[in-house]
Amino acid sequence: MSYQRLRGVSKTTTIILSIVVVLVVVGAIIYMTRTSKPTEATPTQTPPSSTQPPSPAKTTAASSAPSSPSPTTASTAKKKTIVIYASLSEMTGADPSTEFSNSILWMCLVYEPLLWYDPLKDEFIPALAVKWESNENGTIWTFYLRKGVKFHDGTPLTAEAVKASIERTIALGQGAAFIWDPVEKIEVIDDYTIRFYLKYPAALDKIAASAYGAWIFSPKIVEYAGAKNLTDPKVAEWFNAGHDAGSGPYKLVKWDPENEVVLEKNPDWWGWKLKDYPLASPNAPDVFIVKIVKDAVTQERLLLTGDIHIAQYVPLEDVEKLKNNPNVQVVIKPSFQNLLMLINTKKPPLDNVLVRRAIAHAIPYEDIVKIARAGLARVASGPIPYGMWGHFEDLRYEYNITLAKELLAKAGYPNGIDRTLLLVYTAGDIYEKRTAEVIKASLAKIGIKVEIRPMSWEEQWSLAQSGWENPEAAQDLFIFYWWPTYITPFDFLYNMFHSDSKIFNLCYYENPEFNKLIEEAVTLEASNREKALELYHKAQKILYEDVPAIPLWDSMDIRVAVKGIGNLDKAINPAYPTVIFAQVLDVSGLQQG
Amino acid sequence: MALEDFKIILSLIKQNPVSLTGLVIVAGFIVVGVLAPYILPYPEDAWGEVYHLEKRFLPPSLEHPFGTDDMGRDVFSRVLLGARFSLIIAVGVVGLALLIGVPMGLIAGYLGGRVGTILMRITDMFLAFPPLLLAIALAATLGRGLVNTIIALAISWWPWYARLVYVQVNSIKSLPYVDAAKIIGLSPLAIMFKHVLPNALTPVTVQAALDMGSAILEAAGLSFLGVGVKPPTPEWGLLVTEGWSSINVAWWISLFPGLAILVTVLGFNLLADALREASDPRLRRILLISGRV
Amino acid sequence: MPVSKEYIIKRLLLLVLVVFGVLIITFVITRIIPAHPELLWAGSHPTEEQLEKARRQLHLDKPIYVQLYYYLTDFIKGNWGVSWRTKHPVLKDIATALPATLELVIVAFIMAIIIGVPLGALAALKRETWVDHVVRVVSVLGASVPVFWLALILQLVLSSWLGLLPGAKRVDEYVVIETGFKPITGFILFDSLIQGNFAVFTNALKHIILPAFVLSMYPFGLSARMTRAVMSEVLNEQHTRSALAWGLPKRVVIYKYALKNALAPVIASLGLSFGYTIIGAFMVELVFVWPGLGLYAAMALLSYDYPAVIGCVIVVALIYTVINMIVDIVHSMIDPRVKL
Repeated sequence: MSYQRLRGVSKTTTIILSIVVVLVVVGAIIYMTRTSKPTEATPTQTPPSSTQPPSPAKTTAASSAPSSPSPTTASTAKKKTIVIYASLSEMTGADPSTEFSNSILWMCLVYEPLLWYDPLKDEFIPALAVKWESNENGTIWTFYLRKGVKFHDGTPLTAEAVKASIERTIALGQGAAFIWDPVEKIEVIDDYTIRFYLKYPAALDKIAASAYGAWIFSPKIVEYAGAKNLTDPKVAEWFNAGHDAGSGPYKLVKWDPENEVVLEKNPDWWGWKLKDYPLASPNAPDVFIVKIVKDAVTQERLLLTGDIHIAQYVPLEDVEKLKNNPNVQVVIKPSFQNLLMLINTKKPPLDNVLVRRAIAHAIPYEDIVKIARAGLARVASGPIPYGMWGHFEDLRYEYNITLAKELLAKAGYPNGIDRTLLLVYTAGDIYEKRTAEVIKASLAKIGIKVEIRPMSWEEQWSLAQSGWENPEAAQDLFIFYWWPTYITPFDFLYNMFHSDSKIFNLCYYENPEFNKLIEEAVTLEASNREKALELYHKAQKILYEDVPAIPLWDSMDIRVAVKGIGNLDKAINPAYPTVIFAQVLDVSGLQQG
Repeated sequence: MALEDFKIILSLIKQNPVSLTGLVIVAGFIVVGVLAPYILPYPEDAWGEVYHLEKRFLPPSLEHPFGTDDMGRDVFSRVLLGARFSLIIAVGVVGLALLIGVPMGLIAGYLGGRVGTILMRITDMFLAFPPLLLAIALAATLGRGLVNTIIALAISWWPWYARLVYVQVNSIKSLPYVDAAKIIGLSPLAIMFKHVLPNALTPVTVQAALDMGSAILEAAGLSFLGVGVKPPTPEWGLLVTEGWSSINVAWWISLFPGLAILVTVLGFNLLADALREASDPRLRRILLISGRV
Repeated sequence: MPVSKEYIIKRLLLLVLVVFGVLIITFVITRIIPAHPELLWAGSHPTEEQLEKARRQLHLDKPIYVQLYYYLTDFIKGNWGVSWRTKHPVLKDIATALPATLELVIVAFIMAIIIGVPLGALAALKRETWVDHVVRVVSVLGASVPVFWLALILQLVLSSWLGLLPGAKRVDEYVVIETGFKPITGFILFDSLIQGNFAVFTNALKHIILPAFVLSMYPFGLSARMTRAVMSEVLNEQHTRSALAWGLPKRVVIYKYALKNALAPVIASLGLSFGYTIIGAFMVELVFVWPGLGLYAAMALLSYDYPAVIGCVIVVALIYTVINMIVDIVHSMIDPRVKL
């Protein structure tokens, strides 16, 4: 075979080819070691661009990098302090009137409401309003605005701007616009005084401190967007192209919602100049970056290598280990998100309250918290989460298999249920998945078979929606998170259990007595808190007996950060989930680069 | 395919240690896949019916060779049972795709003309999709589940077989013996099934065997993307994905099922590689053209 | 052989047909899902009126063919719709994400050729020896490994445990901010190189090694096997043998005949594997938080963000068909035996 004759050739070729391979490998290794040295050593750095003039309508496209606020040369400039916060979910919209999702994470830094609310202390922190008052039954509210506040475009804050902002939100009617439902009329008294007339009594101070739909913005946006009026879709387009019109301590300079959002300090913010303002720190970071990192494992990894400074979520199993790591800090705060299992109260055998009670007593709550959340949650007591007003400690179900079996027998099912129940949960949520698997294993012990089915949230919701018309076709059990739009027990109780709330009352629970109790309670929130609490307690007692849903746990927020981030605890507020108030951080001890 | 062909291939495989390894792996996989439910050390763990609070995240040991997972279940049992699901997926996908693709190609090739052109254009339209993309879109539409995964993959898969059969039939139908059959008055159907199909099937069978590995791999990919089988089915891709969230504390949860995929698919591919080497150059060219290696 | 004009026109027409076919198939598939995308549009806790409004805005209250008509007319005008999830124009989102994915795929292909071709050639020269066997197993491994699993494991070992390489992201923010780097084309390696910004370049290179290596597994196996197959065929051919018999230096024979002949089919097969590789890139992106099309598409798919899903599918299908077309044309120009 002539092939044999080529054997001689192969030797030299082999050598050459091997050399090529070795060279490639060595080259790659050299690159790796060389580039792993600190980059400061590389002298070729282009100076930050300082040519951009400060224009009122600062247009920043998604691709542009942040510009430097002060014209300095690269060599003498004080290095900007950068804090990178990893967010698990991508950012959503950028329109402050309609945004009702993840974007509040940065909106709380760029925009300001009239008031902030600290739910753990149950007190307000003045923001754009310095003083406020209401008439006795809470139907007329007057807010006195802070003087000398300017929006990022230089326009001064006036009562007209507040009115225009809130009216735009109401007129668009999207997102959290419903919070303003009590408002009948807004009246401008003078440049710094604004009055709200309500249709019915409501706690407008809490509404004004809402995490969604309560932002005040510059009325000049109509001009910038080239729109006819504030409700022109062009304004929304202008916002969603990455523009901001807020007054907050940070400005939006890069808007790439899938990957990162870059915020830069607003040196003119009123809060920096105020002495003792609780929401400001002299050593706040110059640049705050929200980096989208869609997985907790990676967030932890990036945190440990110093690539990010604050992680929104780390795997809960790792928290113990992280607490002992000298380079990181762990802050644990209550969060007002809770997990419940909604029961289809219209589908046999779950329409029988005894069966529902049996299920409530057959769930090992402690085990769920330990397995699903590595112990980092609190066994729920009622549908109102711990730490919020309206929460009561006497609403826990006891885990008791014998009792559960007795109840089931009493309901007419001594040998368990012959139908397999369908439990749906949101796909991709590891906590829900583990919870679902524990529930499946536990209910098997009292003779109830469960099929667990992960679905996307939209699918899950649309299946559940069909239950109002045809409960037989819908799921049996539904694992479900809830968190409030603004801080009131009514938000939880109305949405999940009031019979008018067809969208989220996915237990299909109808109880006129319950409805009446919470309807009355909400109007008393501002004027008679004691009475309101009493009514809310009574309402929750009814739910406890009727078991339309089983509250499983109240979440805790675990934020992990590198050691140099000071004041992290102060920068977290459960009323504004996922937000880090960067303006209160102290980064003087932070190592950069 | 004629028996002699198999004998020749088998002897060729025996000569080459690498191909033999492939054969052993595939044989082992099939045996485990069939017997899995009867040889599980912890059957309840494998089926995901229980949880063990005290046994979470145990590293590999004699008692649990692959460690335990976030629910305290034995990973080894779950991986063993996973072999069965992977086997079902492999056979299901390839079988279903053959069931659609072979008749399509056969009809298009044998009838030719306008019907043939239309059928092949439809096939081409499906082939214009990048391979896994259509499967992902379909799987997302159908929802998660074992059967849906199989359907989604098979639907994105059959055009390959249709085209392969079409090419084969086209070359066979002009051969003298088919003409002879026509002359003696056999019906077109009889000719198709008695003479054309058996001869066209050889390369398709090889391709199908080869594809079993890819089916397992792609099903795992679907699981990873969250559109594959649903928990707690211990499909290997899903096991890897489920271990991801606790990979810093328990690497074994993801490592072992992934290794199982790797070894099994490697076995199929080595075997397929051997078949390709062994079979005729014409077939080899077809396999290369079809873009699947 | 020159390619006829008619052929190219025919292929281009087919391309348009394929894009619309893919569009319609995807459109129909996505609308079959019994999900309620108005939830996405209206926000997390909507009221009944808001949902009603969202349905009207998204034309969900209309029959499917009307929806398709709206979509198609907009599509032809270059308006691919607004992502229901991010409320951003889909085309803009894709334009931001695509360069990241392409950069990853291109680097992976380069790696695949650099490692694969020499190994394949080696195997061809050492046929039926242990070298050949090892190369064969390694290249088959490349096609057998689940990319997402390899990504997870390598990320854990090389990045988490050993700290050799960065395990996620495309470039470090502080380098970008300190050097005032502004991307032009979106291909960070290219942009930083032409701007002479080596800080960003090395940083980005460091970040791309691991994901590109994982992604290169499949094309690497392919190129090694193709090189081996073609080279051993060429080495066996009459003219090679004659060349040797005529006393041409062996080195010349191998480079001039064998390797050169092998390169065209290798590149062609890589081109054909593009479709498979880009889906691999989607999974790799998920693991390495690579801000590309995959991350975008995965999120869009899982939340039923139809305009974004359709946009992604069309872009991928378009690239895939264009590459197939180029491969076919180039192939026919190089190899006169291929008739078009």
